Amino acid sequence: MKKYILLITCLLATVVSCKKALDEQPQGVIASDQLNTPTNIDKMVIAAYSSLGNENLHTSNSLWPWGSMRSGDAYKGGDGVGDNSEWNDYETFVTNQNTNSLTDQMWAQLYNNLARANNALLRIDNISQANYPLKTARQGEMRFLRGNYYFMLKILWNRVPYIDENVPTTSYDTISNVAYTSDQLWTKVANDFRFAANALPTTQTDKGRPNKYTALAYLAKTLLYQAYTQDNKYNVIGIDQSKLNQVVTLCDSVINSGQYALANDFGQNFLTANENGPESVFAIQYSKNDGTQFGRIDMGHSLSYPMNPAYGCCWQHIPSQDLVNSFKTDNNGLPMFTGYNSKDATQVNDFLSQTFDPRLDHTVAIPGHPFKYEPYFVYQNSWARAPAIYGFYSSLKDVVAADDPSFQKIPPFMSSSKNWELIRYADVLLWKAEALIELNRPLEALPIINMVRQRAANSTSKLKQTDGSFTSNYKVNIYQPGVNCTWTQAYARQALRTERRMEFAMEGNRFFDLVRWGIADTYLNSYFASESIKRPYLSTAKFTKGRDEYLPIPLNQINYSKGLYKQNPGF
Amino acid sequence: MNVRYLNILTFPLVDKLLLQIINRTQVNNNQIYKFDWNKSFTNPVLNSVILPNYIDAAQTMKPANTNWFDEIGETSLVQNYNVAFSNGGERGNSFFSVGYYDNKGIVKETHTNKATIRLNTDYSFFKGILKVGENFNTTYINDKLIPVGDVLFGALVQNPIVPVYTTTGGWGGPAAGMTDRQNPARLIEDNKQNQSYFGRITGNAFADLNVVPGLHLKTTFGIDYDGLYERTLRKSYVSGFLSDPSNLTANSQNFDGNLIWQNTLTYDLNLGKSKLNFLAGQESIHYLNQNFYGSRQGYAIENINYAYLDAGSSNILNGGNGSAYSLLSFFGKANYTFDDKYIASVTLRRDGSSRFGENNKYGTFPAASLGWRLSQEEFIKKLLFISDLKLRYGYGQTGNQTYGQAGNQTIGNYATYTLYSAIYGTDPTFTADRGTAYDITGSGSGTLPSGFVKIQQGNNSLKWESTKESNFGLDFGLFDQKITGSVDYFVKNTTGILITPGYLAVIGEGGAQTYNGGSMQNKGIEALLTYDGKIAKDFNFTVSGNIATFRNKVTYLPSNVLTAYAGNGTTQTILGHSINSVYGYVADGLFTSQAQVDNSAAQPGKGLGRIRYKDLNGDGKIDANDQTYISNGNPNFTYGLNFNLSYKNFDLALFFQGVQGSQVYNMYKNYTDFSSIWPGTNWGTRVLDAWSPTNANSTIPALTLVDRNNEGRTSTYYLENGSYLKLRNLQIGYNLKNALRAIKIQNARVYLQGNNLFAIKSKSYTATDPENPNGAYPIPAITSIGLDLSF
Repeated sequence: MKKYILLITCLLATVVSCKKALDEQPQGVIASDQLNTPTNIDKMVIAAYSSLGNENLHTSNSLWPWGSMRSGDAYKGGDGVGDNSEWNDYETFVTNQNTNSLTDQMWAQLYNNLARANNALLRIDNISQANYPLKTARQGEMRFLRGNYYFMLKILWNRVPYIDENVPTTSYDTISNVAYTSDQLWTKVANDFRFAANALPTTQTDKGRPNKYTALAYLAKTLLYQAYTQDNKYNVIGIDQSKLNQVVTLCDSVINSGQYALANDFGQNFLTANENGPESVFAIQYSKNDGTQFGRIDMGHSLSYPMNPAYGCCWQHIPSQDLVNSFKTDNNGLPMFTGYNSKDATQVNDFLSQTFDPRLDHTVAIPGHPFKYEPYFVYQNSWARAPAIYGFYSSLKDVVAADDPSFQKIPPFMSSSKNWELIRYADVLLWKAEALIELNRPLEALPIINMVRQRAANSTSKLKQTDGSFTSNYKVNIYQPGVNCTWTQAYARQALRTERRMEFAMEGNRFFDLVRWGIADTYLNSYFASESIKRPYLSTAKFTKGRDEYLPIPLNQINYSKGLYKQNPGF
Repeated sequence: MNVRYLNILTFPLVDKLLLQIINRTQVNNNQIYKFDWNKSFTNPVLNSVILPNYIDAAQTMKPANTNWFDEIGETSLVQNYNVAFSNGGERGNSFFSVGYYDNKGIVKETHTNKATIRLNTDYSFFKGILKVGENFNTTYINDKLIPVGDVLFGALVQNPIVPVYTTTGGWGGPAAGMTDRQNPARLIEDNKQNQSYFGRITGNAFADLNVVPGLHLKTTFGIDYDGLYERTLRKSYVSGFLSDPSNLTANSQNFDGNLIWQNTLTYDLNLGKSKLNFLAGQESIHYLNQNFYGSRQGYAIENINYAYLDAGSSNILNGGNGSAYSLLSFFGKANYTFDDKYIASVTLRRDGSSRFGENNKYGTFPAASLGWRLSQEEFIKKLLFISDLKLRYGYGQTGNQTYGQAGNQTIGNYATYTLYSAIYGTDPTFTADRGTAYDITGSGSGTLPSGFVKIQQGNNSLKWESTKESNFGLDFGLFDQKITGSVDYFVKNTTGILITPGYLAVIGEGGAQTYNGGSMQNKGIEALLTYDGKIAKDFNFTVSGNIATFRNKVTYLPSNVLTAYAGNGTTQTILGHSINSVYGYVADGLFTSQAQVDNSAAQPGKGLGRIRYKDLNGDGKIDANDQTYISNGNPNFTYGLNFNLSYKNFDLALFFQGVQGSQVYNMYKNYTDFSSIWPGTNWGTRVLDAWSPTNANSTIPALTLVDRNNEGRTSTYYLENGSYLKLRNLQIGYNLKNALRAIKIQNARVYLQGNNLFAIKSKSYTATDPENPNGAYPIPAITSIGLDLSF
């Protein structure tokens, strides 16, 4: 009998403990409410910054696949037109459809990034200043990041769902991409930067954090874009003068802060050794030997390296012949607004027999020219992967020399921990110049543009062959009204737009400039007409006005939204 | 599937771009092929393809004619040995076996060897009232870690012109214009030193007390744990334009398993013609997994004997995590048999899982079955040709907390919780880093500050997925059991299907949430028929065939999982379709004339020789709205045929298995039918028959280097007849026991066996094996010789 009692007790014990028996504490993870301490909120802020570098091969936060490759500055490259054919669809526009998987990937990436910023922000909002003295500053940082990501979404898709930290996650699926007009969205982006500018300190010890002037600069950029009013067909139907005036004021605050200056040599902007230099207003901070296997490196530019043994793959993001030709200067040392394509510069002698802006050799790797300023590391024809299709050039600003400490192989790809500049001081200067010109104050823009040109002219010391001779024949002059030009508003506008191209070629801006100015269709279709003679694959390319200024809303997202999201016109 | 190079110009081409590129290669210095052709863009004719002396700029790779499958493949050798000893008596039983299995795989250097030891003993006490025993199993598996998937894919896509080795003894590899995938021979050679070691102990101890006659109380405590240890050396290499000067040693240890405790009480009762049988029980399972890894770089010597973590000098990394779940079940069962004529049983289970929400951890799953042995009834007994006849009906509910229909895990261990994780950094090679660390100070290196990111949204109302099945069955035997068979009809309704759907991107990382979503129904028929023939005293044979068919459809689809399945989220949903459905475009042949191109619906990228897609909604343009459910993903029926024959000491067995009426999605078409979808690879010979004005009957799209028409989209172009019939097994045996009687051998059978010796597939299936349309590890044909001995 005792035996039975014992057994029954055992069974009862099991029954009683059955609730507990099924209690499993999650392993190696943490719950949301444990993350509201000041220390952990600070870490949530870091996680939000981390997203700046969480790109992949195809989704560079520099936006080069959208900003450079679709602008006439860069070809896709690779081993043929079919290699990353989604990019070929971008580059040639006609076959770009709402099913392009990279469009969906980039959309998701940017909203992932936003979710991190909103997540951190909500925690910061809910802690008292007393418990978290950095509250205001951190709010500023997170709103700055949020502004940055919405800015990117805005220039890529025009109208996107806008969600801030006050929207409960359960309501996310009720917010349409057309809930706000284009102008309202710009205002929301601007508000974040305005808030950030008020909240942020004037200087930061941590180089990765924006300060007051970083936010003011981005606000200037936002207002500059917003100033160009677009109609439903994306025609620019007016330029808001009061916004332009604000742009000037904001740029002046940044300029007068005294914290920034143009780097002495243009090339310093694209060398790891000169990271976070005087010209860097805001940069993505990449790293290596940082506790990860390959480093938190610039994967967004990992396909840009050429095919020589020191690198090996994948030769994408290739400067166009049109871009190379556009660096020619005339007898006065000024850029050629037209006619630069009359004869292609391709051979070593072509670069010595005509004059060029030195920024060419900082931007484009050319056969026979030293690669990344290393006279013994000369770019060869054989470094190109599919020259029959894309010519022989390669990109320089986004890569590093193979012996640079920041270089990192990540087979079969490679990249580096070199920072990527999202805002350079030169950009701030040229925004101001652009605003002044559109305010019909071109004379005030003149010294600014000349300042940028003078720096370019001074940037030749790195561009030498082993014998000390210059790689190309450089000649750059400043604009001297009455001497080498007539500085009208129209002329100044052309000068500004050309200067932006020379200065920021391959940096992911150009297409968005063209759309802002309302000239994307005419500019690109004329580029396709002339370039397709040299690059037959472009013969089917065509930019459709009123459609191709923005990407289609990814079909995936329209489906996930159960039809709430509305497709952009023309797709 | 090997083509030395494509004679792409033996017939006129439509793709001008291709011609222009070919023309340009005359002047280029590193495009590999040069073409001697007539330079006519209207009627191009290729005279010859001129191979260069070297395919690479460094001039180390001569053009080759490599058959990559020969380079990576070999005839496999499988050895399997088992020895078992058993002993039994009133005081107990013991069983002991040792097994050894050795498999050199079909990919070179792949090798698995496995040793098992089993030991089962039980002891009887008090004249059999108490039985105590154990079952003990150990397994050791040693595997070579050859990256077989990459090797097979490399062999498929690597160009034959690439040599295995360079002229200087290095590795060959892709040259300009080729895909950036590895030389598969190098992958084999550089990984052959890497091995994993797996050990598993499965054991239980039990005590069975016969309390009173017919009443047994049994308790079993089991352990099932395993450990997996891996140490791998990744060597530096140069292989074509691919290279990596660094090396790396990685070391990992995984530890997981279950603790299982089961208690049952059984009672057998015989009351004359009534036989009763009761079972009550309880079982608890606790599963745990923990693992960690370490890696270092900078090894002075690339030798596995040196490649321990201590010897590495740079990039010191480590990591690890763990997970657990538990199950607790109570169950009872009663069986009743009357006169072997009427059979009934009732089962009730209550299962609890830690994976479900606070109030839903337990699910109750009843089942019942009824059987009527008609052949025991007098009115049937009169029908002499019927030797056995039984009607069955069963109804049962079962719960699922693990795997979905496709075998994928449907619920995580902690799906009820909203969780955050510190993810310092992840491998960003092919997918974006998901990390939370950032170089906020701008120092460029060193340990970074890091935060947390949401990894999932919890759903505290999660409960068991449940399936209710009704089964009607008929078993029969005719002519003194010469013919036996059964027919079953079943209807299965699954509700609350566990699924973690993709989600709207604005939710951000960690938006994944598991739901009890839709419902589906499976219904089908299975039939089995066996003929047992005896020709002479020593000459027997049996033939047996089975056929099965089922239909599947989604019967309920709540809005929270609506977009988890193929469809457009609004008007086209999986509701009413098979859950395995393929959603895509209908390919309507090729455009074969300019008039067709001009007069068809607007379709970006359309052109001569391109695939024409059907304008299903008739709006004059081909877009996402022209998709539909193009295949239900299921076969019409599956069947099998067994044939066994024995004549004196000889025996012969054949087993055929087949699938009929399935549409499979043949992914190999990306490589065999297109020169554009996977550029720079070794395309299949079918592209040689691509459509052109002079090859107008071809159904293979015209050659092009760029997939402007997006022909890689999901469409009926890839759907092919997946029916097949395979000889799964053929075995011929001979028993030597008569010959060896002198040495007291009870049984000594030698046999010759072949698996998958032949297959019949539809001609319209264009790849090799319709059972494997996705490029998985090939299903090999195996021949083996065996010897069974018992003393």
